[in-house]
Amino acid sequence: MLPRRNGFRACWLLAGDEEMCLAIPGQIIQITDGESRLAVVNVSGVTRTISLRLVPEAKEGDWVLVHVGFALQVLDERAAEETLKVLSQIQPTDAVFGGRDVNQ
Amino acid sequence: MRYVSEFRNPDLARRLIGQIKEECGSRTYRLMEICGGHTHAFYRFGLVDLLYPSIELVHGPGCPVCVLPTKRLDQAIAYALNPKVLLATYGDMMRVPGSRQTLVEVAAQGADVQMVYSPLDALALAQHGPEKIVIFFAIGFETTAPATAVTLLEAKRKGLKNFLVFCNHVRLIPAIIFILDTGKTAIDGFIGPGHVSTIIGAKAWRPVVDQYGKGVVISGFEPLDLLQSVWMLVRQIKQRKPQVEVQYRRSVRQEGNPIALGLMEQTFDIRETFEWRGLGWIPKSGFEIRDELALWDAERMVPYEVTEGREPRGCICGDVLRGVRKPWDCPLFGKTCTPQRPIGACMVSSEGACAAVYLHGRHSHRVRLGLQEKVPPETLTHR
Repeated sequence: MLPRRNGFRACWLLAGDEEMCLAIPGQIIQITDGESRLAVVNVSGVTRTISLRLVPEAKEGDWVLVHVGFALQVLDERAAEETLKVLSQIQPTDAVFGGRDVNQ
Repeated sequence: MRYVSEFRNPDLARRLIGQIKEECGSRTYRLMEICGGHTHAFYRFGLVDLLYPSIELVHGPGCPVCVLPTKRLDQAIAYALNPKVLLATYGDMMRVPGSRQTLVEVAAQGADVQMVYSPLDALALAQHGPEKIVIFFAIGFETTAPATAVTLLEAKRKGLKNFLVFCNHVRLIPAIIFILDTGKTAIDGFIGPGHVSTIIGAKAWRPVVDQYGKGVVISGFEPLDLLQSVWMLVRQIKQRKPQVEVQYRRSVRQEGNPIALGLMEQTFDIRETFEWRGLGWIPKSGFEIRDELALWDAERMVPYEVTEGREPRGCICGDVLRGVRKPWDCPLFGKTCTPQRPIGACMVSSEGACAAVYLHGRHSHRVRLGLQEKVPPETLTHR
């Protein structure tokens, strides 16, 4: 058995990037095969070839949601900006965090 | 716009938490986050503690690896043990304990088991190695099903004779309705899964609102997404106006992804009923391969052998998946069952609730409180 602390780190690596239901935003760098809709995308710094079969409207430079080698949706930049705008207008309150010291 | 860092701004998160606390007042709201990805994000970013005690999160069944009954995994293992077969599947599935062993263990004994990132990789294995029958062990919710659908159609187009799919795709909404029907879990509202809804669309959640009067806010996966969703949901509950709201607007449309839905329609039928771990048989909750594609369906082409699956003794995965009990209520949690040597499926998967609590819970006051109620404090000193 690994010591507990290392164990945690090891499992984090195991639970790393290839999570099943997790989809990650990636940017289309190049559409390599127009007919079978293959494209190279940059997913957090790693390039990978994926299929654009589910998003025929996607073009180079678009951000898409990547899941098991497929783009699921083209991300809507305007909607993302609107969400951020709503968030940035939220006013600070004087609520106490956690109601107590969480490190106790 | 990078779609990640913008949604992790700590200052905005603090303000949002303040707003949520103010909105909640002294009441505790019980919200179910359906998706396992959300469960992990809530723990990973420490949001569980920050929202406690205003928000009590109930973890839902949205972890495809966890809800797959042992029997189905045993069947996949039986396929893998056939020397003519190469079994391909996602990494998450490899270490889930079956009745006797895991896929990793049978691979160590010489069975041909390969981990793939995409079903198209499994298809490529079949094309490049015609001497083996490649069986793709397909699992996942509606998020993953379109990828399998495209792969099946591609196999048909290429006329591949050595590629089969063992289809275990499931539908999320019937499971949620099942949980609401059994009525054992008290829930004030739902944080809806962003990626499943990207495919099925926001309007698919209408029955939960119309028939059960529970609000649904479909959320993204970054901390600000989750906090904003909690805020929106609490406001809905307070105003007693349940509806389907979309927080994850950059990806979720009302009608979902019609192309993906169309491809699924072409390839899958809805099963009469399908078994879920912990929940039992749920009507109309699974996908099966359509008759036109029967030649690529492992269940029809290779006889089904397994009839009885054995759940690990002492494991409470089922209750955890229903949201009835917490991972720390399990006698095995963190003792015999850890992510290195998982006993139950919820500890294996990168979306399982037990794995989330184990990996990130050591920072969490809420988890420590839960553990303290169960075990004598002196055993916790190393934490």
